Parts: sequence; structure tokens; C-alpha cells
Amino acid sequence: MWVPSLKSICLMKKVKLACLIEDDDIMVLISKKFMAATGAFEEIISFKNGKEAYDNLKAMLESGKPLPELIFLDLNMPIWDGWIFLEEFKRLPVTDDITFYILTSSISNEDFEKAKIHGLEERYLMKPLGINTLREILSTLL
Amino acid sequence: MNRKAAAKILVVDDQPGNLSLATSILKPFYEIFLANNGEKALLMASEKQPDLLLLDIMMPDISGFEVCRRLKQLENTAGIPIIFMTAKTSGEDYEKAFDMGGVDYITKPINSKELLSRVKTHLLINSQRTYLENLNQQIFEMNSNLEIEVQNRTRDLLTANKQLSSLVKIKEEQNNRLQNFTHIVSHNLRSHTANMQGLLAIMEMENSELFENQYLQMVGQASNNLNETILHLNQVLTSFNAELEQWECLDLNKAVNSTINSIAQLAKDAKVSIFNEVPDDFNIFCIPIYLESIILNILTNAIKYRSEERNSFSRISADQEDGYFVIVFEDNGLGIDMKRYRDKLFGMYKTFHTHKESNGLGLFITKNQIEAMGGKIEVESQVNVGTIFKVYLPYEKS
Repeated sequence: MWVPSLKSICLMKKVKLACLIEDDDIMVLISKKFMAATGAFEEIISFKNGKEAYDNLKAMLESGKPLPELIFLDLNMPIWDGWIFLEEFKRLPVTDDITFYILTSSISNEDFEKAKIHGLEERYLMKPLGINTLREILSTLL
Repeated sequence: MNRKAAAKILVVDDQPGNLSLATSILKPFYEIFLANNGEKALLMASEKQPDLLLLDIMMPDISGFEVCRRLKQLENTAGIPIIFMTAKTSGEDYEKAFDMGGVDYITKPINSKELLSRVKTHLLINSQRTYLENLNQQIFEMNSNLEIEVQNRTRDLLTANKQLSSLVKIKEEQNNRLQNFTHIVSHNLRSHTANMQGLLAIMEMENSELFENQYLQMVGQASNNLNETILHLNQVLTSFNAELEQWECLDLNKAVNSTINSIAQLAKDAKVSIFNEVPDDFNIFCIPIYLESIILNILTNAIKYRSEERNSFSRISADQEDGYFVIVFEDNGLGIDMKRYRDKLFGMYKTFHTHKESNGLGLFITKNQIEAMGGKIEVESQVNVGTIFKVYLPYEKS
């Protein structure tokens, strides 16, 4: 198991706010556990589908609150799926620098091809989110 | 006119003088038959089937008009053109001659030039009429044949069309079901295994000592196996959806080389020599990701199932045969017991070796991919001698 040294914790910058858009409670729990285990996240919020995420993030944007720096987006969700969320979110006047990762259980080629269209093929993660993957993401982010 | 056979003319007159005069005029050009009364005339007309009849009107037994009437009633003589001959020049006879069905009328005494000219004219007219009738008959027959043919074809087309549209409908339904099923596998089933794997990973992170429990280790193994099975199933289902894939022209020699390069280390470790004997510029129109997967599958099989008792090799060559490109993979490996396994060779999850890496899916997917490209695969194998796989891909599309 990876145990961060005291030094690395002190030096490490943290992600102030991260966001999970995910309808599966078990997967939210798993992801949150691993994110917490890295000790690199100050706050994690989660939404149950694309529509709920869009409405909340839009409200945050309008009230001048800072948006999440990192968003893990599931693809298959009720109401609005991941793709609709992406399309709609892109139209918002967002100036913050947000890093998106697709986090899916889908092994369908079709989904991966769609990710390419959104320029997210490099940020296409397979569930479950693991600690090593998280560390790699953090090293590019911080 | 065709001179091969002279036209036949029957001359009917009760006066021998008239008969001999007509004979002397016509004999040089035609075959002449003579009758000196009506009875004989009827018999001979029917028997000799003359092309023309010269018929005297005034005869003692049966008059020329009566002979004419009877001839016109019989099927085999009705078509013979009749020229009446008579000394009479009254208007009544002249009109009656035509009314009875005569084609012409000659008055006696006979003028040789007139006789020859009229005979010639009517023979010509008659032969042309016969020709036209035949032609007409032929056209009529062709026409009715054509109509029947058109009706048959139309009916066939309608039937075929009906079958086709019901097939298309079935195919569409199958495709939809297949896509639904593929979606269930690639999303729904997969998401549960992802959860299981995730939960196990948390347990391992938080309470790693729990994993000393053998049962929990087995749960972990089962979860990984389930995940792998779902990946395989997805791969198989995707190979059924060939319509979605991209067809391209592929240089086979280069494709084989790049596959050999990708498994070079594997082959080196197993001490299997692989020879690419595909000619240069051997281009195949295919679905490249399928063909590459087929080559990879068969070559890795050759490596996996090599014999430890000899220097192993695998040889790939290509040729053309009866409308197919044939790609031949030959090895000297363990071989397959064809008597026992022929029917099962390409089945899902069938393995014939107790090899640790055999997952029983390779040949099943290979066969599906080949068939999706309209091809077929054949195998010859002998236990402990080797195996030859022949992959046939149609080249009409190229």
C-alpha cells in the first residue's frame, strides 16, 4: 500500500474541489474512498445524473462560486447522459480551468469513438477508479 | 424467287386441248398436274398440295365454282390460290369468280404471255403471303411466350421482393436485438463487475489482512474472470456487427509482417520461426481490423500449440483460387484430432488443448470475422504433425 510521507503531504498542492457525476451509489462510494486515500482532495461533490450536475454547476457559476477543477463524468446515466451534459456544459460561459475525465464501465468502441470527437480519448478511464490512476492524474494536474 | 423447287400448278379443264396448251406454256417453268374433271381436281388438290390452281368454270360433272367452294371449305386446300379460266366473258361470271374466292380470272383462248404473267404474279403474292403469315404466327407465338414470361417473372419478382422485405425486417429486428444485447453486455453487465472489482480493491486497501482468507481471494478471482468473460463476449458481439466496420484495401504482405513484428518476442521466447511467404503487392479488399485479428489469432495459436519435440515453424502464404483469395497458415505444431473435434473446432469456448492460455474463443471469433467478410475457413490437421488453416476471402469485391 502507498503511504504518503509527511514531506510529500506538506509539499503537495491540493485539489480544492472535485466533482463526480455518477448515478451508481456504489461507484460513488468507491471513487470517493480512493480519492480520499490520496489525501489530495479538499472537497468532493457528486451528482446523480447529467441534468442535476448541469443545473447545480450552472447555479454555482451564476452565483460566482468557484467551479470544480476536476470532473469525473460517467456516460450512461438517466435523464441526461454524459454526452448531453458535455454538449450543454460547453455552452456555458465558463472561464475556470476545468479538467474532465470520462469514467465509465463501458467497453463499447462506439463510446470511445464518441470520446474522440470531444477530444477526450486521452482522458477515458475504465471503472473502477484505482489509486494508481488517481496518482497519475494528480501528478499532471498539480 | 427461290428456284430450288419449282412451284406446283394444278390445271383443271375438261377439254384436252386446253390442258395440253396450258402444259406447253407452263411446263418449262413449273411442275404441272392435270385433271380433266371436278372430282379429280378435288382429289389432286388435296393430295398434291399445289401452289396454284388453274380452274375451268364450265365442266360437265362438277362446275369450277363448285370445285372452288369445296376446296375453300377444306382446311388443307383453302389456302390454295385459284385462277379461273373460261371462254365466257360475261360480267356475271367475272364477279362470281372473285366472290367465290378466286384470285384472278383468265379468258380463253389462252394468251401465253398473259397466263405466264398472271401465274407468276399470283405465285409471288402467295409465297409472300405465306411468308408473312408464318412471320405473323411466329410473332404471335413469341408475343404470347413473352407475355407468359413477363407474367412469370413479375410473379417471381413479387415473391422474391416479399421474401426479401420480410428478410430485411427480420434482419433489422435481429440487428436491434443484437445491439440491445451488446449494450447490456458492454454497459450493464460491465458496470456490476466494475463495482465488484472496486469494492474488493477498497477492502484490500483498508483491510488487506482480510485477503488472507482464501474465500475472499476466490471472490476476487471470480470477479476478474467474470470481467474477462464479459470483455470476450463483447468482442464476439462486435464481430457480428460487420456493417459498422470499415472496408479497405490491405497489402497482405505488409499486414502479415506487422503482425509478425508485434509477436516477435513471443515467437522468439517460444523458439518458433515464422515465415512470411505472401507475394508483394498482394492486395485484399477487407475489413482490416478483422483480417489483422485473424492473422494474429492463427499465428498466436501456432505459437501456443507448438510441439516441444521439434524445431517449430509457421508459414504464411497466399494465392488465388476460384474467385477467392486464399491465405494459408501452415505449422508443425501439436495438431488437432480432426475426427473428434471437427464439428466443435470453431465453437465458442471449445478448447482442445490443456494449455493454460487457451480461452477457447480465438477460433470462434476468427470464423465469425471471416464469415462477416463473406469468406470461409478450412482446416487440415494431424495430431503431432501440424495444422493447415486456409482462409478464403472472396475477391469479387476487390
